[in-house]
Amino acid sequence: MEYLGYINLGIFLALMLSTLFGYIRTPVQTVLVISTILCLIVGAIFKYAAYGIDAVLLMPNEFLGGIILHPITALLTGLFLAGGLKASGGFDALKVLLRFLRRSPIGLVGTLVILINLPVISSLPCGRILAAALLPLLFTFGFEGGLGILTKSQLIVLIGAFTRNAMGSCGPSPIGGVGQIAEGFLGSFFATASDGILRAPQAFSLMLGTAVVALFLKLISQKIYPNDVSLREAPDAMAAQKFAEPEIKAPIEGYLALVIFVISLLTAIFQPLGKMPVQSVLVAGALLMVIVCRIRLNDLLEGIILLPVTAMAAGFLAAGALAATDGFKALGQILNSLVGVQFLGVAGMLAIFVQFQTILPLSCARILTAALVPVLYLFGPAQFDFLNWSQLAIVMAAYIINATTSCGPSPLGGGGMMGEGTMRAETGFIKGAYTFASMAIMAPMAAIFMKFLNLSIFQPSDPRFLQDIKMIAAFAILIAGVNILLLVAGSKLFNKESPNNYYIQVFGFLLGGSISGAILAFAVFEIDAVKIAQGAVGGFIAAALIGFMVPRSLSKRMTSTLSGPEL
Amino acid sequence: MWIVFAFVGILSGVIIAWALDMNSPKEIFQGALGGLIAGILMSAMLPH
Amino acid sequence: MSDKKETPKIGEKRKDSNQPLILPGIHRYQFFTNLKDRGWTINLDRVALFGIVAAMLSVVIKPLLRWNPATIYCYECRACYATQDRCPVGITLQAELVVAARVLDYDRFIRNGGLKCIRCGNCQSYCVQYLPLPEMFSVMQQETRRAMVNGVIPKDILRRALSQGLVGKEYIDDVAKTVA
Repeated sequence: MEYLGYINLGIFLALMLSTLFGYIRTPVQTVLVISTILCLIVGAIFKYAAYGIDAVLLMPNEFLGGIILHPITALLTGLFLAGGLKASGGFDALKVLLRFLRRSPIGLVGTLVILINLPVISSLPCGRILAAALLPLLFTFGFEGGLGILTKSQLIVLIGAFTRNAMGSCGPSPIGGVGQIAEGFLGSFFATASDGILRAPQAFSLMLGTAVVALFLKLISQKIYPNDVSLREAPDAMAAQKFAEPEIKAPIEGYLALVIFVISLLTAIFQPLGKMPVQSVLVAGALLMVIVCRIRLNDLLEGIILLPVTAMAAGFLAAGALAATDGFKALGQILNSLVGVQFLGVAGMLAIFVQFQTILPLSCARILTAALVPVLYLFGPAQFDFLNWSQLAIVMAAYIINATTSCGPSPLGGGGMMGEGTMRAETGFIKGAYTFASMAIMAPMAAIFMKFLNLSIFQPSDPRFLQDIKMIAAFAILIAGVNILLLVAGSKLFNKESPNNYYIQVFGFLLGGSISGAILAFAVFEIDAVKIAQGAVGGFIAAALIGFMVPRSLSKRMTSTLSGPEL
Repeated sequence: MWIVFAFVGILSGVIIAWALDMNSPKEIFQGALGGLIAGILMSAMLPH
Repeated sequence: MSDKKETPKIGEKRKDSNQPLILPGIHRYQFFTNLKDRGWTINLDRVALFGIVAAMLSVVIKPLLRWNPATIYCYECRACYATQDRCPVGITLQAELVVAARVLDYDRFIRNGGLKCIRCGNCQSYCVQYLPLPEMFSVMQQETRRAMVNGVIPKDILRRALSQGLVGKEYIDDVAKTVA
């Protein structure tokens, strides 16, 4: 039985890598279902041999436990509301409000900065809820959307940064967010952990990470892939003369729908009517829209997009099959065994561990988080004693932000694909920016924030308070500064030679990963040269795993996929 | 906590404004102002 | 692409020079899921989609049929783990019990101490939705007892539970009888 987990983990990874490198050419959700079935067959053979037929008959129940209903239903209700807003003219009402904001002292750019950070401010339990509702609105800022305020390049940055912010906002959410999985474990030592000990580090690092994503999209992605986005610029003749902004009028139903939408969101977050599922609140809001704004039920249903739902469910199924057949236990043992490798040690292993979900980004962070947080918990005083409670909290902060942002770069129906679809980009266009920001900015920043603010005595009169604030500010400038420098230097060095560009990016990626690992090791073990060096090595390996788990160039195999015979 | 959020809000607002090709001093200032508001709002939603 | 629309051979590299190398960290898996590519797997895709939908439906319908509908609402956020030593019988992973109750996973329920639970309700106050955890566990305990009597649960699981002290006094006679 002890080999079962390793065999099934091997099957899962082999299938995913074969798909990734083009040896299996079917939709990913089909591959995930095949992986589920294979794992169950192998598991059934082992269980039959060990425990008899009764154990085999119970296996369907075990793997179904992998399906987490919450993100699926939250996404559906978000799409419901988006459909309602669209049908009732709510987006037009929002445009009118935004025009009012743009004419206020904060201007267009200030409005856009607030809009980009709106998902983390509202912190819903799934980023897709707000993304489904607001991405169509962001699209209208461009020439094709009708307003024509922003150029193609600006629209790419706006949509990419907003989606990054959204696909991470499930982390700091207090109503069933991913971060609460870790807060639950930390509650055994920090009495107030369940009130949100991880929320502030996540929100803080997401804010900075979002800004770096915006910069990455401007300096790197658009330069390397100039033709990957098929959005159109305004024609020269129109651009030359000042683009006359069309007069926008919204129907009264639109304003009402918008008010219902905002009240639903606030009720879901603050729960003034008592604890209740966020889905119920949002569906009640959608039904209220049907009555008050006179829209049809069909309008709500038209908002639903099925692919992310089925892809997410397929991911849960595959994870459920792995969990039922000890696959995650095997993964935990492999990671644990890395501690014995001399040049890695605990610091190096942790630097790889915290980046694990960006190495293997699945459609919903909860899939792996639910399996790996218990493993991380065991590294603390509960079992292995590699870390004390404070160190465990720091590592949890870094791990959780990396995990919650992993649905952004996931190609398996991840949230980032919503952004790519909205900006009419090739799949993969914004994902380099997302993985880089998660790896190099957010994980180390969350660790630093946890170390210097959340864990210190939090009183303005405390002399350490001012010192800690200074430390966080200094690290924010240092981490953002180094990475911005890398991006700017990289963009200046690019030329028409593809291999040259590739190696520059590889260098930047590996350097970013190493720095991230070193900072994490510093946050956990303070000034210990060996540990920091081990952390840097771990970060380097993690960056290599993130960076190279992709084919180096598109092969004929993929080209034949793109140009294969018509059905 | 709002101090650090206000600080990083301003920092991120300036970076986003620059990434959006809005480089004039007025636009950078407006970006910083937007970031400041976003940072304070974000901090207000967190437990203290 | 040429006008003849020839299908390139598998394994060769693309020759067009303007095709950029892929940025590290970019995941382009979806290239393989292009609609044109689905010819030979179309029925497989349909079966897979049917399987996904059937699995999702069964996760929702099962608890309804077993009179344990509240389990559907669980966010699986694990905020209930913060109960820790406030649980008088030392259950640490309450959400695991909820998921086990939702899908009738007896092994998971017993392994995580479901048969120890005395339904005191201390964990309920940690739930972000204040879901009725004691009622859910109670329904699942009855289901487990019924399954034990019917011989559905493998004896090894029950033996392991007994040896690890995972069975409360309420159920210890039933478990001992089944194992014997």
